[in-house]
Amino acid sequence: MNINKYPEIKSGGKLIKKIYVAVMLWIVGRAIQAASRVDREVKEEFGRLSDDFMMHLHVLPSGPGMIVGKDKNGKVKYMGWNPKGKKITLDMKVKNIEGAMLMFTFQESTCVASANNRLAVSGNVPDTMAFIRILNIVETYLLPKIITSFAVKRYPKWSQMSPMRKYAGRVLVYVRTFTF
Amino acid sequence: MQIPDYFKFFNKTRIVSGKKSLENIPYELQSMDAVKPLVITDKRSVDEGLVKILIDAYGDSGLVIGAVFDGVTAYTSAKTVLDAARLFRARGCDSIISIGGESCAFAAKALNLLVSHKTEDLLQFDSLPDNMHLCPFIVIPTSDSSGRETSTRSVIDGRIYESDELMPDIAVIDPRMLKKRGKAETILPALRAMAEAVEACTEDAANPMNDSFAFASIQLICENLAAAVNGGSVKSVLGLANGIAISGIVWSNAPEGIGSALAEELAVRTGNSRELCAAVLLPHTLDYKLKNTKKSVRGELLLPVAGIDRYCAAAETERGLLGVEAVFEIVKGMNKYIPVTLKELNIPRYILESTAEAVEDSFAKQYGKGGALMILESAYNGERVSGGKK
Repeated sequence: MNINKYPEIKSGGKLIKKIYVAVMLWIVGRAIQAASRVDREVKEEFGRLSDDFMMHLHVLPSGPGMIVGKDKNGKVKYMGWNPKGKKITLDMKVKNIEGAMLMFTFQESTCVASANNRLAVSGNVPDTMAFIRILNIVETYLLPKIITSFAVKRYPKWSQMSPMRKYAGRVLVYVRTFTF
Repeated sequence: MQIPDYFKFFNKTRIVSGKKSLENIPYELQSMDAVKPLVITDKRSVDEGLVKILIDAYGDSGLVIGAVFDGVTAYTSAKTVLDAARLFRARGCDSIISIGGESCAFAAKALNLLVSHKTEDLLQFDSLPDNMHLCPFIVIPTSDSSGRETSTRSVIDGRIYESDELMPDIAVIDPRMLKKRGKAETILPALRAMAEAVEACTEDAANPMNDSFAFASIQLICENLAAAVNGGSVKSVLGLANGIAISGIVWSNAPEGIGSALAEELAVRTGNSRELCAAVLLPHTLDYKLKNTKKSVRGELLLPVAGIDRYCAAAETERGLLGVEAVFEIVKGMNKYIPVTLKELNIPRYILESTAEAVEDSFAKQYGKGGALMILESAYNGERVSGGKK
């Protein structure tokens, strides 16, 4: 048998998909930081988390990713993508870039993605659930209703988020996300 | 629910099924400390682009596929396995992925024996222990799958190798790998898988664990078969593939029944496929059990075969009979695409007698003398089994 007939196959790259997910993670990371200053509910959720809370959401095996955590003053900050030198308390891994694409193109909500075994988490379950709730609120601010309803388990009712809070919050979150 | 005095159930295979499930393979392999698999497949899977789909799914994983060995044929020989083993060693692989039907899975299981025991002699594996340490092994069923991929068995050169450890670690069922086939090609493996699952839960030794797998398999096949045959949705094709994959686990945990023994023997003697023989014999075997055995057919069978509405509407004492009738309906409903009697297969009657004789000894105690022939006779004409209770 001629072994050379059967060459090794190196896995290719998926650069465009990685760039898309990287941009989405950057926006979501910045928006979480902004929402923690604008939205009372997000503020309260973060308030219940430990002072050293540091969450790393990334795509296996080699990124992209985002880190959101509390700084020394207890303020929530987007801390970039590199986990080097940071003490991660909640590590959320999307198992592959295709899973991340399904999540960030809103074909699958975070809950459905978890149910479909696309995520692996190391850390506290209550912290994870709190973070998912924060993510849902941030997505409600960032995206129009028709898209958000695909991305979250239940779109908030009027009684949970009034139009006033939603639209004013949306403007503030966008401004803070893209300015400072 | 039936529970015997003593039973055991073993399943090593994790099923990962659904959209983009192939993309999980690098993660799953790494979690088993493996980074370089050998892909073992046949020419058909390569021609249909299935291997390319797997390679694309590997994109961005940073891992390397050791090689794609596409030399498996419908009849799996020791030479093929040996070639694959040499390639595995030359490329320094540490795991195996099989794409395709049972011949590819059988070759992959035998390959696993060779490379894990660092030998080139398959004949040394006379009897296999149930505690071997084998390489990580993933099966990717395609539309050619028969269910045996997830079983404990491998058949190489007509020789059977059987061990619990031969079950794959993971079966990845991705809709992209389930290409459209001809109607008969879709029906036959599904009916054979159903026959095996039905037989497993109508045996005296049926246990609750295996029953739950068998019922899942039967239900998935019954619910999705018609839709999948008529070019139905991705969901129905995926459901059918899951039902077939689960039947392999069921089959591995059940003793051989008279139906599969007859189908096997008939296939050897007539040259017809095992799938076809199993499909033709399935309702008649059940009918015989219903009318001529002490325990009859369990009423619970009606639930996965006919659904909750018909199950609830039936009186408890009628459920066994209605279950058998529902199986008849399903098989006869496929008569447009496949033969459903032995007469249509042009099998001469003297073969029926010799087949019955060959099987009779093993099952005479359980089903009485002449039982095997009675099943074959009724399958010949497509008539219901005579005698016994109604």
